[in-house]
Amino acid sequence: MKPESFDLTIEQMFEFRRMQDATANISQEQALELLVQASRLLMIKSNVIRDLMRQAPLEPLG
Amino acid sequence: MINNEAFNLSLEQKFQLQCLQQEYQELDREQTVNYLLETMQQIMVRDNLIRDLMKNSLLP
Repeated sequence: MKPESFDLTIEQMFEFRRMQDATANISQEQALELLVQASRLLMIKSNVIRDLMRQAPLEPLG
Repeated sequence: MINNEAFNLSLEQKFQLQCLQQEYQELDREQTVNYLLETMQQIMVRDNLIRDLMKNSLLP
């Protein structure tokens, strides 16, 4: 696993910036709905990571 | 390759999500948007990790 994986790529930074702009006009209800969906997605991605880590061969640190 | 169950929430996670949902009700609009953006950022970081782990697992 590379340390860079924990940073956003340039494209993701743009995407994040775009999201920031998009959230300027959404209502609290929309934000809440999206937050719940995003939280769910985050959990699923955590599951996938855990699953992949289990399969990944151990690499030496450094 | 990836266990299909990984794409579903576990019982604990379903419960956790319900708890979060209740906690989110207490937030005002600005806090909700901030949490949303924070969560989206975490999602993107996890995407990178997944891509990286997938790449590794495809190599011999």
